[in-house]
Amino acid sequence: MKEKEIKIDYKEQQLILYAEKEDDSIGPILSGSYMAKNHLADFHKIWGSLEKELFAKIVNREISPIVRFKELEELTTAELASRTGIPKRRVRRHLSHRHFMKARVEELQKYADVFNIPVANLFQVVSTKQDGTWNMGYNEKAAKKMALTISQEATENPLLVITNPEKN
Amino acid sequence: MIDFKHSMAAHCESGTLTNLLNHKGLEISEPLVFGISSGIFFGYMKTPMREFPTIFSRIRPGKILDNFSKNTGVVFLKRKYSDPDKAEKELDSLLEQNIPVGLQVDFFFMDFFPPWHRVHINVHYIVVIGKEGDHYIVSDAYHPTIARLHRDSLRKGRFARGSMAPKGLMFYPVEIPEQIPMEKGIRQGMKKTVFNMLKIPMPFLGVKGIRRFGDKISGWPAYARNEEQLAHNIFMITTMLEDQGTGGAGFRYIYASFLGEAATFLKDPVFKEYAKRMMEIGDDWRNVSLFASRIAKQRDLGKDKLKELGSLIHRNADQEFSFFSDLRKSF
Repeated sequence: MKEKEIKIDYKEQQLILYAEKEDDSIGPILSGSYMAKNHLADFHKIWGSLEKELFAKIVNREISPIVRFKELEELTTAELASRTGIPKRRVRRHLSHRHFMKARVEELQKYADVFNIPVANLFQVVSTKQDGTWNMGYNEKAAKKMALTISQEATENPLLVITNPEKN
Repeated sequence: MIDFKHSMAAHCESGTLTNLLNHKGLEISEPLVFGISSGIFFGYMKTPMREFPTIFSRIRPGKILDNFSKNTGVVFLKRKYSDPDKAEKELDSLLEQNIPVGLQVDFFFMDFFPPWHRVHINVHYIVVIGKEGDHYIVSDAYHPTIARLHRDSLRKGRFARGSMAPKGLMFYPVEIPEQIPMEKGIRQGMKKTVFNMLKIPMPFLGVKGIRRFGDKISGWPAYARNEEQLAHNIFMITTMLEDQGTGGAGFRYIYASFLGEAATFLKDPVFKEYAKRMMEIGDDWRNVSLFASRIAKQRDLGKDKLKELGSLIHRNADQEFSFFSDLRKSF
């Protein structure tokens, strides 16, 4: 494919593609990401509706908060078990509300490490208001446009996190 | 911080390797590293690690490094660790000696990328080129600039568990021969590629893998809990072929660039023709990508459309079979 046909103008996510140059050689060009430019909104839409669906199930005690992060990070039960070092059978049990209630803090810490979140975030949902609607998950970009930004700061104690609301 | 020339690259492993080799004094392009290492491939399989079947269009992670070393005689020091403290100490010691170090990490913890871009994949490669306080200075071939990464994030990335866990792997070139047998390396790389694409006796690898992909795609709705999930995974075909560090068209364009360079090294214009043919095959893979993203966006995911996608994939299988069969005859 020719350079001018393949090149995409999108500064937010750039990558290297190989294309036919003017002199017929094939070489690298810096281009925007096709997926990010054309389908990022679709991605957010799919993820937004999945998050809402999972949130409703957590509220109704059908699933545990672990499912929310597992699904959003596209981890299978086998992969989550492998990453946490918790046996697969036990992980499967922790996906239900009933057994999540019996999970050990030590195990929750292992899940939180894989999801790269403070343990506290297994018990709370931070939302962001966009265009008058509260959306699941903290959207830093949207929050920056508003008066308040929230940041979370880890401490030496892995179970304790400091949440800092900050005026922009 | 080490005076290291940061360059973006199509692919993280071949790009990391290229940047490290260039720093060590060997001027070599990424396509040449990729081709000599027999980087191009195809596979289609269902693993317990993903809910949907997955495709890959490159050889197993880590093999680019091994194959390049084998085919050129460049010696790399490779080390894995079980103790994160020891791994960090040795990394710091190498940086103090002004040695840039290649690392295997989980991409998810590279928090200099936006959150929506980061996924758990244990086979991302970066070069660490310095340390300032608690932050490492990182040259990531997917990032436009040199980045900073907190030592905790790097540690999490290096010691993430799960499939293909990095186990703290670090590597750097220690010895580059004065005369690299480039022609021999190129030919060996091509031969191995032909073997991989045509001869591996597994029904899901090489050209057979492309055919399997074409056959099975119409059965993907059975894996999906709803239309949204199916659409996401059809989108993933485009992502895997175009956006996940492939140089476009599932590494077919970068391989075409390699063939163009091979023509110069081997002083044989026939490889220019092969480069052109590979570029055309790449265009057909791009058609697969565009078709997949279009039907996913429109949620037009009925059996007929998936079969149509399957026939586009089969066409590519036929063309690649013919291409690699012809390439084999040129040795």
